Amino acid sequence: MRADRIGDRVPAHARGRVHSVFKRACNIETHNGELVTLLAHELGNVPHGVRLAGAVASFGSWLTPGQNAILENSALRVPDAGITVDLSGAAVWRGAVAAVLIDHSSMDTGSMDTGSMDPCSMNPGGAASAVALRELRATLFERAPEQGFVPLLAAAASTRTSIERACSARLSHTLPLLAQATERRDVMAAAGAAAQLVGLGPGLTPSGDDFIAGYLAALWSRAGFESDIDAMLQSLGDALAPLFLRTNAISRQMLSDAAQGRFAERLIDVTRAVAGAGDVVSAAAHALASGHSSGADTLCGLLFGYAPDQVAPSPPVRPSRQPLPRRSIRTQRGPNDHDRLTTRENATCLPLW
Amino acid sequence: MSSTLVKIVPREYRDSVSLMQLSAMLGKLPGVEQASALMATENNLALLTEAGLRVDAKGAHASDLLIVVQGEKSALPAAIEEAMKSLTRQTEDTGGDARAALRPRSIQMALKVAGETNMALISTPGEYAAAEAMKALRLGLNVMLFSNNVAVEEELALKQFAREQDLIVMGPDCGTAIINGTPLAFANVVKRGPVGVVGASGTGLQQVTVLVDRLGSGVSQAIGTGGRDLAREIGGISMLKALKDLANDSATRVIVLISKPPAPEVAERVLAEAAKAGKPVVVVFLGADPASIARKGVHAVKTLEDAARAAVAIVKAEKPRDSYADAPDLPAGLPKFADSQRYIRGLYSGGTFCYEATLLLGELVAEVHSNTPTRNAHELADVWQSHQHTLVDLGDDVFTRGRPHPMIDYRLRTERIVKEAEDPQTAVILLDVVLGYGSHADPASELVPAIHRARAACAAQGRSVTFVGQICGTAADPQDLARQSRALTEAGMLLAESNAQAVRLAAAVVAAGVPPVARTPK
Repeated sequence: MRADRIGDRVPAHARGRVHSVFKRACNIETHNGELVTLLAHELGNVPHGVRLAGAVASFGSWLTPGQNAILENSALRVPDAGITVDLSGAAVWRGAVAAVLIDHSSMDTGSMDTGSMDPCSMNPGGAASAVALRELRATLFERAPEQGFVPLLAAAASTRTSIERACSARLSHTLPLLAQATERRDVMAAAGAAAQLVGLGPGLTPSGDDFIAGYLAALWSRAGFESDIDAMLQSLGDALAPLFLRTNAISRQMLSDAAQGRFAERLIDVTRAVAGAGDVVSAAAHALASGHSSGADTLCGLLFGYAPDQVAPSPPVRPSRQPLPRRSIRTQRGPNDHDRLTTRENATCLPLW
Repeated sequence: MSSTLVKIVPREYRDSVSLMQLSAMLGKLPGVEQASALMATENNLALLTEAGLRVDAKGAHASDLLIVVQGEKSALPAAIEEAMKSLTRQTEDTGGDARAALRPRSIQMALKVAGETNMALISTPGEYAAAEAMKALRLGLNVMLFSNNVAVEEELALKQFAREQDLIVMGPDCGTAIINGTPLAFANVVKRGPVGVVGASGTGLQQVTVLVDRLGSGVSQAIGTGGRDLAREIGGISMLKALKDLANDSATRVIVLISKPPAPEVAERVLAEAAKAGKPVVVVFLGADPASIARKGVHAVKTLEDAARAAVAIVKAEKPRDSYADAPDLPAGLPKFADSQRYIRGLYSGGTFCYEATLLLGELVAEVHSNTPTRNAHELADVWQSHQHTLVDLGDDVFTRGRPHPMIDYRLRTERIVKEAEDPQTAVILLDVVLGYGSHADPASELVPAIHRARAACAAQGRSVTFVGQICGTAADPQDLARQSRALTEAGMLLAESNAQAVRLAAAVVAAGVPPVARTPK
């Protein structure tokens, strides 16, 4: 068995045990408490992931939680299962987001209706990102599944269960606080709001964790152009780290990577598309296919991190099915966007990201 | 008064889809008002308290799974028990138990376990599918290739190799087959009998096999070829092989061939072989003129229903008719439409159903728009927006990106049903409902609430919309045909026996309900 990609956060040497097994992914918990994820080829890369070069039927057919695993320079071995994954030919994958320039003046209109916007007359990066975010929002609200945060932000409260109503109330209270904290670059206030979201909601990686990962991706993406966001991120990771102990190990690894500016490939592809290097709708649709609601929750967090008012917990106008206007493409390459195509590609610890 | 019961399952990691399915399944159990399967994090425990649920989850950890059910006290223990059973079943299904560890991991291993196997069903991402199919062929196996996104050059190479080995490649993108009585992929449970069917279309095969069953006969084999088989590039290799095999099969007395119009030279080759089959062959090339197809030994018809009826007639030693297109009987008491209501809106999950419907409706009304345009229909400018008479194939790629096929996931269709009902120009909403393996476990549970919502939206505007549909399914299908029919009929849907009849019925309903004064929209 051979790997073709290895995430840049995968340790060079480790001993551990099989932690959890899914059909297309398997997590190995190292003695340091990190998770390394063995991924089926068709899944996107993640920062702590090892992606196989060929197809596998189901990891559950060979691997069982508790089996010993050994990670060495050139191989990942699970002796009890008779498995050796050859890592010698795997390219290193680096999961950094693309830098995006947000023109906040174009966001203040609230609706982000670009019908009357002339991209040529505005800051090109900002105008392009405004249209891109509109596409992202339209795709997200059109295609999100019926679970997770998105329907709670979009649907009428009367149709929900009491658990969903409670979750909706929590979002109504918390998201404005997080938006305000972000606006003020207030690290402690942001961590305080994030504390209300960590481990919250349905899913193996609870919706709140996916949302935070998306939110952090947007901040890292903005940091390429906004030095005060970059400064905020330097201390935000430390402030958030204790909170990550409040969720399960799979989420914890994802959030820990996110705090360090490392994200899943499908999410990165969306940031690249928002930056102008790709089609937003198809990148977002691909990301939405992750997990059940994980993809939607992550994109919801991403959109919130870029433009909090676009994820306001109030009924949004259903986006038009009309073809979206073509936007002017201008690839924004910032300091976070280096090396991606030449060295590593990213991978997450979750099977579905 | 409502009670709450909680089960903590230590260190239980299930993927999000499984957790959602578990929650949904528990929520539908009798006596259960709401149910949730959540990770037992601090915030989720607090959330349950905020939701007014009294949950005792002392000792729960963020890595544990928390199953919460609320409802009638007496119903809750059984719900928790069902949840635990479901978790066990999921483990077995994903190959996570000890028994699954022994499952074959390659075609070679499978052959060691079951040496008499002569066919492999391959469902992998398209980029690997051709290689796996070739492996199977080299091992002497026939192949059903469910995967799509296989290049035409690869398809040709596979089929040419198969032909040299006297094997068949069913596919790629072959979604339906019934082999030796076993339904494969999206297929119905039909009686075995003397009708052999070969089709380049999945729902076309389903319609014909279902109708043959309902007409009292049965199916020997139903062989899919993949949608491109009769294209010029492939030359009908699989259809010709299937035709030859059925001609040599003593259990098959009549053969039915189904396709959209093939490339002319391919059609000629297939029809020449059909005429030499030594047993009657019924051909339906949707959209082609039957007169151009018919020849000695070949009975050509226009619709899938006619193909099934002709085949069964031949089995009964009756002379098959050229057409069974009887005028539909309109039920009494249909509501009158408002002046604005003039159009049929067809929302299809089956691509061939939409194609056939577009052809038929194009002959009955002035102008039809569709995302699967035929010779007598216009291409729909915006697939999300109906225009005049519109028939939409919701299985088209544009609708299925990031979501399951509409035969499995009804959400897009139920949303569109309500949207169409809100359109003051909509008179009839036309639907197909596909049962059988692979399809939604209970379509009526999705459609009936949507029909009620649509009716309410219409009633609020002082109008009424009529629902017409057909169920492609048999009494032996797992969804319980009788229950599906009853639920949809009670919701007010007019059910026809076939796709063709549903189209004619819809057209008749519109014609009867529209006031006689012409009101062509400006």
